[in-house]
Amino acid sequence: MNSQFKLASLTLVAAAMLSACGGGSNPSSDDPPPARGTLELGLLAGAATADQIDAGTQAKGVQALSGKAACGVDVRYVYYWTRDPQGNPATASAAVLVPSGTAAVCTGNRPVLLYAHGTTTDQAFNMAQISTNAEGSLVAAFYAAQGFIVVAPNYMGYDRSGLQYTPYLNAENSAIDMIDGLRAAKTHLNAESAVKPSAKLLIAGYSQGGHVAMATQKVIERDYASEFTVTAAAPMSGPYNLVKLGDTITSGTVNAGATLFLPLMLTSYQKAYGNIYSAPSDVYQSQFAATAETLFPSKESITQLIQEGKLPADPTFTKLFGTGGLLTDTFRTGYPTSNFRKALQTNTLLGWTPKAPVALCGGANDPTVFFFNTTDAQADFGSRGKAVPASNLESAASMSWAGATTAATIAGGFAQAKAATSAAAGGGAAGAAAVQGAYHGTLVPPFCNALARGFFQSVLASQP
Amino acid sequence: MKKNIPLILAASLMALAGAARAEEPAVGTHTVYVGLAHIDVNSKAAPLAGGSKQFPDPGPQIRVGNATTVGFGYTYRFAERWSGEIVLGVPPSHKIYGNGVLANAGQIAVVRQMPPTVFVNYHLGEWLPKFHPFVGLGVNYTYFEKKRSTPTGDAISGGPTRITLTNSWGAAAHAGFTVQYSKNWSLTGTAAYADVRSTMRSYTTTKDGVEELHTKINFRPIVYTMSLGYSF
Repeated sequence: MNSQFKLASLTLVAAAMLSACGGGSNPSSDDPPPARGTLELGLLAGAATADQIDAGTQAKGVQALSGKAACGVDVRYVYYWTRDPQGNPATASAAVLVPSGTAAVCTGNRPVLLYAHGTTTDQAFNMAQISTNAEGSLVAAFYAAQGFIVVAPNYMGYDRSGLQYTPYLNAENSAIDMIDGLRAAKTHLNAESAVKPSAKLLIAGYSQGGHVAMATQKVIERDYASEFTVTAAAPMSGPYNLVKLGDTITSGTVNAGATLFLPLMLTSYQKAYGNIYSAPSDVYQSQFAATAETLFPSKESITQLIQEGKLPADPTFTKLFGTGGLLTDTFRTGYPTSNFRKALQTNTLLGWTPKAPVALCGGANDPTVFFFNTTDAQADFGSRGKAVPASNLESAASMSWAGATTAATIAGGFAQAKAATSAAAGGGAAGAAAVQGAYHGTLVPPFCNALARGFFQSVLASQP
Repeated sequence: MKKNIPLILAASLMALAGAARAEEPAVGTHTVYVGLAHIDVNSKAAPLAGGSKQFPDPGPQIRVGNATTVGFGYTYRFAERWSGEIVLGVPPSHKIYGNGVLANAGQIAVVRQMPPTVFVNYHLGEWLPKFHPFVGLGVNYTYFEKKRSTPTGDAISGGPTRITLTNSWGAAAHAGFTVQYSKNWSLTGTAAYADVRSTMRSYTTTKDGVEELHTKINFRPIVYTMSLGYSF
């Protein structure tokens, strides 16, 4: 064979090979998406001194519960890759609050608290903005200023996340977001922070975050045991028994906040399972049907949304059914056999057994997330031999696990806080209404977090 | 695509090894050729501007990946030292990657382009036996015929994303050599540079409306080719 023909065949064969494997423009030749937990952006966003934190806890009247700050707090922020409920790549962000200062409790390898926040409708919600984000400042004071590294994911759908809805009360997917946020935070801290995460992992969360925290413990212990070991968990005021909550609401006892929770849940489950409705008008009354599905997370305030007629005009957020209500009668009557109820069943966090120690907390008169969620979870775990305390802020006896003094202090302090809220509103019926209004969102959180922190510290002390 | 370089070198050596004396192509000679083209992109682009999300420095950026394709073309010898050439190829697909603060995103889009280029070449004669170097100046038109955001790109943009790129006219230059085996057969290698600039825009459909981002890309491509030619 002549050399030029060798050459010709070499060139042509190479050309054919390269054009075959060189990558086309079809989806099949796309690179795979970034791995779960990949850190896209990590930065030091700010810092608070111990004095600034003390001024904050003083102003909010929670310093008796939080204690004086032992550490300052470096506010870090991570933006990372996770997966949406369909398994598609999605981005999300998390606050990473890191103890600073010279005290022994603020240096070296610190235990990590993975914290899950409560329901918000604010698309811009960011736990790292601790000067304006109440829940961010609370966990900074209660945990980071006491030597815990707090990793607090903002959830998909909020802040810089690209997802156009939030996988609200989706147990499995919320856990995936939490785990990926934790991975990204650890990557960032190990690269850039003097204070490093230890192997101790504590999980807490409030309200929606109570559900997320419990789901995260369940999923980590089931699927990620080789990567993470849960040291202890403290879910607070969470809707663990979602299906019973749904049954209760549709049979007439509507919880405070339902007109915000239901659009979040319906969109989340419709996106995840695709079978909740064939059109939004199947479930929403006509004046809300056009906008409800994409209402949350929103760039607008609740007040604006009510003014625009996108939510029922009801300051207690309970106008779920009937004239002017959010949802149709068809939805309500069809509920018992609906796919929505099946979705609630899927995301109910009963029927599993925690491995690490758990302490639950809530208030028995919670008008937003009914307290049966906490006692049902306690009874369910207990039925399989896992004894977990369920603190009820209304009852010192329920907190005796924390010691008689603590139990009495917390119960007494909670009663005082309620009385002060009532008195500030003039007492009587107005006072009672004010307590109702503040109960879930304002009154309970500092007390349950104080109990949770004490619980974590005692578990850590017993497992050095 | 560094693997192509040894391939091209090997082919050149074989070409020289097989050399035996042949004439400069006569005026009026037509040559068609086919071979490989490797496009080494050295893109520069300002951070993506627009949109509702702010990013810290160095900002959200993009980077255009390299591509290898089958190149082919036609050369006509219109004077003793001069030829005209049209360069074509199978349209190559370039992956577009996140860069700057988006560096860890990996591939966020893909574009397929058609870059037809015409050259006027000046031939320097036979420098070594059978070895005929040449230089050329020309004009490149780059037409972006397919543009697609990947699922990763959609995720970071915040929803289904449509991409546009403006087409580019620019000067091109190349230098190369021809190894003329015989009256009919030859091997040609070139290195070319073209001025390719484009404005890229992305339109992402979010639940709150369409978000538009944009940047100007200077592709700064260096194209290496190795082709087998047939003259008649």
